[in-house]
Amino acid sequence: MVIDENDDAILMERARAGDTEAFRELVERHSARIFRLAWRILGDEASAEDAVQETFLRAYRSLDRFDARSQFGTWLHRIAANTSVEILRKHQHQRFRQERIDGETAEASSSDPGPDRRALSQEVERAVRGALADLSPMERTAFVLRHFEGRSIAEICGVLGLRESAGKQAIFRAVQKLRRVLEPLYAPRAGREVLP
Amino acid sequence: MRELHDEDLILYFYGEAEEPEAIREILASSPELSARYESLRQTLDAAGHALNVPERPDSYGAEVWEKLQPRLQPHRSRLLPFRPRGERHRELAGWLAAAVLLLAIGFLAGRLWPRPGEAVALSAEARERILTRTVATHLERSERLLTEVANAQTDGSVDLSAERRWAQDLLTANRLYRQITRREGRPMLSSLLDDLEPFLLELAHSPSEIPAEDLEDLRARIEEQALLFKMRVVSQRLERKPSL
Repeated sequence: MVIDENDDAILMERARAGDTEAFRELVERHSARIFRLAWRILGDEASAEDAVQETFLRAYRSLDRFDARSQFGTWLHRIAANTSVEILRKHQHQRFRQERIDGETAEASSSDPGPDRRALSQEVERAVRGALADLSPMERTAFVLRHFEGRSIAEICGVLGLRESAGKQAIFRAVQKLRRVLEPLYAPRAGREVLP
Repeated sequence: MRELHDEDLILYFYGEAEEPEAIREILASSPELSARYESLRQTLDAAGHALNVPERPDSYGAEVWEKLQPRLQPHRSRLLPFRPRGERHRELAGWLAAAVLLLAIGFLAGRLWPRPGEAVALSAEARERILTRTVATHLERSERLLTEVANAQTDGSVDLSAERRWAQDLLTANRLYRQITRREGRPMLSSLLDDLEPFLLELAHSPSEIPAEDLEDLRARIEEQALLFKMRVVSQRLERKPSL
């Protein structure tokens, strides 16, 4: 769905004036996008659904604090990212343990002979999910915002309340952890040596 | 040639390197660095394609709203355009309505179910005073609502969503006071509340935005029945003669 920021601004103005129908339209327009962001940060559907609900609830309760000069999508994105970080912090321990188990299973199956392209893609997905599960909530969210959402490091630092150096370090650590997991999957097939 | 670290390559990959041209030149001149960058690029591309977000149906937004709506309290705006007395009145109105309703229920209960042999908690004078005060407050708030509607700007359609919720609160109270005043033998008050109720009902069930011509029609009917005038007269009389 193409989202027109001008329409958002009009709807937001009405929502702030107490028009629930306008807020409903904003929810309907932005839900799928917020779900994608939350799912990438959280890694499972149920948690992402919780994050979507919580994001809109917080947005509704903060309507009076919305700065009319801002874009609604950016403002909502910020709420969604922070909500997802909080949920991730709460649930990460359990997920971390589960992903480790899944990762070990994947590692065992990866020794099977002759994996085809599809198997490789599943293997990569498992590895990426496992590597992301190993990241801290801040590293993971910063990486998702940079890599999947295309946000600049300055924007990410604004969203997450980080200094620029801290934001960069979070992304560097996330990338290095991913490399450690993913490069062994690619390098031997490409006939290249894995550089440290 | 400056030394390149992985951090530089990561920033370069994301288009955030401070000197992208210089890095491009270094990569072009060094097969080893170029291979290192290629490995990084391949890893990050793979990570980008590896996570397949579960698809949501087209109805997803509506489903989210369905679950969300029961959790939302009506939003009370502080930024309504035609608010001569400020939004604070409206926020207070909800609290006042609840308090007044409790008083009225207490009044009604005391009136209808006095316990035999027990002294009634409130004297007749006290009940009359409370009833007068609560109805006077209700009339004052209703008058403010109708005044706002009468003064609303008519430029195309008019957003009456805030007035609608306000009318919903007042409507509940109005029904109760109408019954009490009738039962208590206060015909002038109950008659005025009778006249007021259709307007509150109409506003309470109006859409969020109504066309300017509908608003004009509503204004005309308020004027035709001299409702605002009657309310002011009764409010003044209540101040002078509480037993009215």
